[in-house]
Amino acid sequence: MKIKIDGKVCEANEGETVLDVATRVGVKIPTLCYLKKFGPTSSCRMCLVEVEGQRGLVTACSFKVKEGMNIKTNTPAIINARKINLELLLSNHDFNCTSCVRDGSCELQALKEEYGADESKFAGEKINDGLDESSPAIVRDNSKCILCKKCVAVCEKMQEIGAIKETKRGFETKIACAFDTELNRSSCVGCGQCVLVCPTGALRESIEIEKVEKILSDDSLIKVVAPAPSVRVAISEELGFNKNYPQSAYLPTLLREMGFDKVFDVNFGADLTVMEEAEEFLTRLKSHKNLPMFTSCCPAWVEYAKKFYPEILPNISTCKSPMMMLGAVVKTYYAEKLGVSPQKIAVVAIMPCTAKKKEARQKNEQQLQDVDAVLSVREFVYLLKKKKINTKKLVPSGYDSMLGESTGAGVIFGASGGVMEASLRTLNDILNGKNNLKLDYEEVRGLNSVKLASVDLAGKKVNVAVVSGLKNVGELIDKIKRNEIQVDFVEVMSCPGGCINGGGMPIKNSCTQNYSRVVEPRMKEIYALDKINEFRKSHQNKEVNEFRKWNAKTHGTKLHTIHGKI
Amino acid sequence: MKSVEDIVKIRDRRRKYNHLRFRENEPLRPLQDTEILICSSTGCSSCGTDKIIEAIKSECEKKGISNKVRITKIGCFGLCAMGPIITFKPTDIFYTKVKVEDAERIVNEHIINGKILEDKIYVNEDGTKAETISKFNFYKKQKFVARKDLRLISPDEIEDYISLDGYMGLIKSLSMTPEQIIEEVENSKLRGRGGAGFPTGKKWRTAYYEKSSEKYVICNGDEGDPGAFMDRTILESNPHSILEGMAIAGRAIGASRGIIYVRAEYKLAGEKLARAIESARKYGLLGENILGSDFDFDIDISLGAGAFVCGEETALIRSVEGKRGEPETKPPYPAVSGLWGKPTVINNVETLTNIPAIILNGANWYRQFGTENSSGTKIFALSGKIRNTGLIEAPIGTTLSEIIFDIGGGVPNGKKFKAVQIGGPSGGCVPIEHLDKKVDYESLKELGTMMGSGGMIVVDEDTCMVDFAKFFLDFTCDESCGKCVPCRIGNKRMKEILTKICEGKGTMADLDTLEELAHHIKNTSLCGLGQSAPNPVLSTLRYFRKEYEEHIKNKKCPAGVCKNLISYEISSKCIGCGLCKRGCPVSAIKGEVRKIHEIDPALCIKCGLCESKCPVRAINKIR
Repeated sequence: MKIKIDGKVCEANEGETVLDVATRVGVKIPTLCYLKKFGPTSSCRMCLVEVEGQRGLVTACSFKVKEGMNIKTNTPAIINARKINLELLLSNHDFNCTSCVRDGSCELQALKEEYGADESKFAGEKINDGLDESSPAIVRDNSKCILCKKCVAVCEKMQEIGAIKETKRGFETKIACAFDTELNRSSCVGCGQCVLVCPTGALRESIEIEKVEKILSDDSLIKVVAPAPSVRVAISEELGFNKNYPQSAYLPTLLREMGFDKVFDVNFGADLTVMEEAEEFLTRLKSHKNLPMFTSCCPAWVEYAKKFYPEILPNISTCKSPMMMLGAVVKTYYAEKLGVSPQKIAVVAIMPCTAKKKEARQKNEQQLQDVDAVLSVREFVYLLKKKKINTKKLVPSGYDSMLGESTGAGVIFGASGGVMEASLRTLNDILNGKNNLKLDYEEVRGLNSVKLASVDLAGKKVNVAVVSGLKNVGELIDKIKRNEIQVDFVEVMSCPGGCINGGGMPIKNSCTQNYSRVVEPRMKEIYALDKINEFRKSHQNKEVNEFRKWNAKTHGTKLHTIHGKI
Repeated sequence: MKSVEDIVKIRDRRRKYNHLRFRENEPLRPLQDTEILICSSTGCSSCGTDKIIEAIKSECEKKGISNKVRITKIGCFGLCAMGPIITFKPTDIFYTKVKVEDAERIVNEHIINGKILEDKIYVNEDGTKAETISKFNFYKKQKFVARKDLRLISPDEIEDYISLDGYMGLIKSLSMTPEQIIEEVENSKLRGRGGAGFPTGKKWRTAYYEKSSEKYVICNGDEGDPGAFMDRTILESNPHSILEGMAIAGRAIGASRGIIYVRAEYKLAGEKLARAIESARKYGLLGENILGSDFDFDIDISLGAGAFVCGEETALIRSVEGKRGEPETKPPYPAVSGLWGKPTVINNVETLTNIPAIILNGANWYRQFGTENSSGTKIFALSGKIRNTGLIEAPIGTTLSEIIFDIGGGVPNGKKFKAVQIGGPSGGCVPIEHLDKKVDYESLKELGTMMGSGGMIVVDEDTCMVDFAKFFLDFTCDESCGKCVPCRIGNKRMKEILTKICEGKGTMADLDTLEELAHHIKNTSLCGLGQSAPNPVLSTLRYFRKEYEEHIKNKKCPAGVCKNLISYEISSKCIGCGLCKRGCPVSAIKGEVRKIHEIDPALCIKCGLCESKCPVRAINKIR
């Protein structure tokens, strides 16, 4: 059908909304509360447009197109209505923008500037609900909340956690946990998907920038840093490098520029995890105990299991996550090699994740943290910008030896299916006693939320499942419990698509948050990085093997943990 | 399971058996027995009707006349200000404000000796006594369609309802096609009584055309306007008319399930409904194969938690679904996608109660009441500064002055009428110069108000219109669901500005902001609550702008309500009795005995207690 938007005739399809068509043909209509996947809520009233023959203004996000419809999106009346709505929102918003983590990336701020909205025009009482900093992963700040409720939608519908929800009504309405309890005592698992859709600074990771700055300025410390696999495929989205090399090549240089002494790699931890997990899986397979085995790399998933499926905890691999393994290795093996006390080493991890911040708080046997601080990609970028590092003039460099080597198997941990593929590569080789067998397991790759495959490992058929997004995780576990599917090994990632869509990744415009558009390019890059590696199997990682030899002798590093009930 | 013939037989039998009851236009037969009809609706029963019944019963026992006296709890008489109300059959004597202590006199003097208790007789505003209903000025200009059975039948007796042609509309509809039913309703020009006045037949037709194996009929009983209680009394007094109306709606659109959404605070209504549903099922008037036909229809009750916004149809649906009661954008309308995403007709209680009569008597009969565009009658709830507080029913098109003065009895205590707020917090006020206007959907809209649920709050000269607007805005601010920006924040800001003006801190620029915000909220809010919330402000600004300006420019509240703008003074008339001094809660009054007292303005909280205590009227409010 044909419709008219601002005088231009455009092609439209049955069932599309005005916003759908406008977005497709490049007419910008502002939105704050719209999340495509979960349908319109029409609460922010920013996408108001005029439709000929309709009384008053209608919301483009919900209004379906009809043949011959004549739509106007920018009349003075529309602009004024949007402006007043912005001014009303601003009148109840803590606009200490300069000290806000979202300064510059805040959608409300951008619209305020675009529409010239006056934040003090309707000055009045503001809702002041205090800061919820109880969770080491996520901070909620209702004084910045504009009640778009996108966080509620992802928590409730995408992740099926339902940790937060609107309570009270009228001006008093606010987002809160059940019984107004703290986030840390709620069902929140810290995945941070809510942070990705927050248009303002009302939801953010628990900020550890100061902690890292303190570490960096302490001369008595050996400052170790390690980035996660997925970090290297997202930093250029925020920074922009010269395109001579893949963006990942610049990452170690950036970290050194920031003042870290040693740049190690979480990919090393990933390779190590594959080795440990493969051994564990084979043991379980032989003894038929605690099968299917679930992976344990994702801390939000482990937290989810503790809160929603405690009965399944014995089935989760006892392996620490790659980050925690690396931290433990640094504080034992590396410290011994260096001949310094572990207290003298500070480990900072750069992660795509908010839940990792909570995971890092776990104490080791010496009551120390193996990982001292965790920065999200956003915090990392913030620090870089603060340090005014010129990203255009960077020269690529590599990771430091001893704990910096990694294989292609390590890097694919960043995408959903990667952990499974890495494990399969190694398991197949081990069981066949060879080193050159199958590399690509296409059946566990891709954007699908659940991927099931049957794999032949030295004549033994092993059923594997790869699942991402906690709603899908819950459904899969239920199926397994009802014996509807038979699986031996399950990879679980809390965030849809895996760590490349983690809660600590750069925030795209939350209104146009589009899963495939954000995740797909990052996923492609992950597998490209895998391909250019000389070694693509974890058991080919020499530094890992060297460490494991040392650890077999000394048992100096604890790589396993018990996932206790809450 | 009963058949159509069974129900007709019950009706005819009950009619004869019901000889004690009085029916309109039917001559009464003199009898020796007495029947006492006592209102059992919330208003009267909260004043102790149960105790009165007990007292009369035990008095009758004492006198040994129990077998000669029958006491029946019936529905609401409408004249709530005068409750508890009892009437006698066959004499038709009407007693008001009956107390437990009156039981003995009622039995001894009235029943046994046939003497009228003069002090219990209602006095019209012109001083004439009204011993029977026919002598009440209150009832003279009223026309009963929706409320016709209320004061005649017991809500607990399904056969009472049947005896007055109850369920005959449903029986008739069983032999009609859905098309015919919808056509009849369309032709009747019945419009939704819940507020917006949407044509009921059109709504039904939309749902009828939708193809779906499942459809729903919902009765909206989430009455929430301050001062409105017409739905409540219908639910309490005549629940069967709702069930019948819903079943006819179900038959028309092809639904087999109905849900009555009623607020949990309406406890009595919920009980009466539950009992009515149970007995309707027993009589085969609800359930599978109604009266042996192929039509299945059953009704459940869903209790609301009391949020005003749940009266909005999409919010109501969400609430029934167990979700937070928040409205959703329309379209799609519930008639297309409603409860559980299925086509759903939502009608207000009063709308549904009209349906059986329309089907039974035909659209033409119904159209004889009301105006060309708005047919039928409308129930109004009169409250505020009006003599006959209560419920009335009048043809649409009756003038405001007829309703307020002829039926309502005007403003009491010799005060002057100032304005009437129509349609509750979503409506607007109408000043004295428009009292000649007819009450119909269009005229009210022109006046800047709306029919709404039909609440009418009358205010007199002692009401400050700024404060009055603030009162309603307070209500909408409290009851806003908080979903959309204009309603959530805009109304709050308007309320803040009104508070400022009432405190004497307003500026003329505030009036512009107020108007800008009011129009913005009206035009851009998500649901009817937000879209109509600024009406009280807009209408008071329209008719009483001077009063606003008086507050701002001269820091005066002409009505003497806004505390920051008034003060109290003791004149030389003071006899120094000290009554005011002793009564003052903040010890702001000083003075020696027999000498003129003084008020310390710094301490005075302007509660006005001293003024009311002064025996010589020496204390004056300075406006």
